[in-house]
Amino acid sequence: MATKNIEFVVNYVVEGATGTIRPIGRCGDHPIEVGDVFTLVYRNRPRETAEELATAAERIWEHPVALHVVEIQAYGRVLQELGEGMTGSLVLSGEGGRFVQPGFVLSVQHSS
Amino acid sequence: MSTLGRFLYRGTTRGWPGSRSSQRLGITSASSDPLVATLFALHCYGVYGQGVVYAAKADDLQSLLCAGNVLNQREREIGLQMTCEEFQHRAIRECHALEVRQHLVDLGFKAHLPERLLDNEALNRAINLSPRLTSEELRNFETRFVGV
Repeated sequence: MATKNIEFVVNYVVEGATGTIRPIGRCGDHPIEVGDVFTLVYRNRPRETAEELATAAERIWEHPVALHVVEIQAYGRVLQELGEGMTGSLVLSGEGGRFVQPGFVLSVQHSS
Repeated sequence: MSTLGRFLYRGTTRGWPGSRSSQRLGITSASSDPLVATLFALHCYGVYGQGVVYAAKADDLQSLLCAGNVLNQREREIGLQMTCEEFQHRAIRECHALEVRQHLVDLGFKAHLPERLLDNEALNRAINLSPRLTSEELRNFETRFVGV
């Protein structure tokens, strides 16, 4: 069974309405849809120099979460799906929002 | 809405039609900063093996400009009401990521330009850590890259 890693790289986080957070950042290599549930947030070892940035990511911390995508916005519009590579803001509700920080990555694995 | 330089740049995979979402929106993102576009192209090169930078004349696209997206200030992003393929067709220059990188290295930006980027977190970090070109630096780049 094939799996695809749905990810969202967080640039910064705005507090949303009660019980929600609004991370702003970039979608990874697979689209994010309303209804997806992020199950993990992780952090890579910080890469500072051009040489370090050219190397593969090394995960140094992770924590399970259960954050539901309840809204997606990009270009001032509400979308059903955020395409791969696109920037946008998400509204997430659920457990673990306090662990989502700038520079961290939200992740969920879907089976297909 | 105005752009700093005379060109808009888009770093991407050669021939990529854009994500389904961007196709539905009918918006293609470009940057007025070639360093940003080059970082996107280096990401495409690192992940997909092909990365190019397209340059189009900003004057030719004025009627298509729209607001950029949520990180537009950091990325000097300009939204364009056109498809990715239309941008490619209207570009006056297409160049491999490594060749554009070399132009920018020659202008003193080596410390901000990895030889490739392998993931989206590295791309975000490279954008956040790098400076944006000044008007003078943009002119120097345009002279080297586009020959104007």
